[in-house]
Amino acid sequence: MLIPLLVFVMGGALAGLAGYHYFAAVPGVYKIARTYGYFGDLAFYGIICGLISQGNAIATIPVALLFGGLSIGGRFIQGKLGMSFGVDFALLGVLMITLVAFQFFYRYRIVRVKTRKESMDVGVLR
Amino acid sequence: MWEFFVRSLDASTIFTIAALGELIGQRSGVLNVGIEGVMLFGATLGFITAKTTGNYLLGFLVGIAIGGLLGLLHGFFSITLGGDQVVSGMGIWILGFGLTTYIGSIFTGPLGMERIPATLGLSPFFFLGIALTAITWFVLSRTSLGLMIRSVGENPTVAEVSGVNIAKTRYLCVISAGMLMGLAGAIFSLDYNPVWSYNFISGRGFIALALVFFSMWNPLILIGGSILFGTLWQLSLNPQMLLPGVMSRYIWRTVPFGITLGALLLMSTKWFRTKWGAATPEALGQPYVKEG
Repeated sequence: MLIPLLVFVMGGALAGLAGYHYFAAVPGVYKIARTYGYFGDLAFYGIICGLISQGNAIATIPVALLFGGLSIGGRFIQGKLGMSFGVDFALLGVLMITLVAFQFFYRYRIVRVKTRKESMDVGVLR
Repeated sequence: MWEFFVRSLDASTIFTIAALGELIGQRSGVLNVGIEGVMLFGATLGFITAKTTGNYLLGFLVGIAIGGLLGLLHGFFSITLGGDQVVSGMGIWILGFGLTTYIGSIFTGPLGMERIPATLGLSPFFFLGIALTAITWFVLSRTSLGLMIRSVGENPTVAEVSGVNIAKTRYLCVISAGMLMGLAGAIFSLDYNPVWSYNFISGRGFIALALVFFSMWNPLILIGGSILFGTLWQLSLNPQMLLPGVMSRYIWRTVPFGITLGALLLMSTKWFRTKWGAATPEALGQPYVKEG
């Protein structure tokens, strides 16, 4: 009973720290959020990072770097290269659905079949 | 006052239809947290179709079709591949958010078509929502198909032994759930508020998800809950008109979620479980793997 409570309190505290950091971060690149809408986007990225890193704390660092780069780079690509609004979100969506599709490998494995007898065993769950 | 009430009923229609879809899916044991994404897809593609062809019916049909396709995608990930349903649903949500922002940004603005005629100020979809709820209740609790769906959601192993095809039943439920969610999105963008802007569902899908838990998987409680939530949501848009100076609109916006938290707290108590029985479908969120 106490451990789930502690976990939730710690999770909330970390999320709060991230929110504080957003306001206290380098001005010019990360401006102070004016609308809920933009602030919410980074929270989405947080959820995705958590889901992709699959409960591995070390994995969150590269994943967070990827999404940080996407969120800033998406804004630059719209300004400098003249891409249309929402390119970064679209890329994110495709990335996410690809990662979901890779869950296939939790339950199945790709096996090279050599003999005829082996080929008959494939597909049988052991 | 009457106008406010009618507008609330229109808002609650969207919640009813989306939550009804989610309820059907959850009764068969598949949790879809991507309602928001499916609604965004249905709303955006329905809006674009209606704007380019000038035909409302075509817009709704496209909304329903894309909803069904996304339901099929979620079903493929969670039933055939046996993946984590929450991750798959989140993926569909982010995909909907991203792709609709990209596709629809050039269509930003009002629809510019004649509004769908209303009776007594109520949109025809309110009556459609009530009819769909009644049909769902009848099918789930009075027919053999409903018994099959509920047994698949409660205990798939036992259901399979008694001759029910688990994958087929779940696919049926997930696809019809997606169609209802897509329809709800299309109703939002074509009838309730025919203006496209980025991420315009703004959390209604999550309210619908909360509503399913609030309603204890019962379509008849769901319609009452959706009217309550619709009224609260509509109040949160402009509370100063009705209740000047009571609370800020941002606090009103949180009230439906607060009510859901309270209801979940109540449902988790032992007293409630012994008095009303376990309401949650037992196999909710678990992929079914046949043991061989």
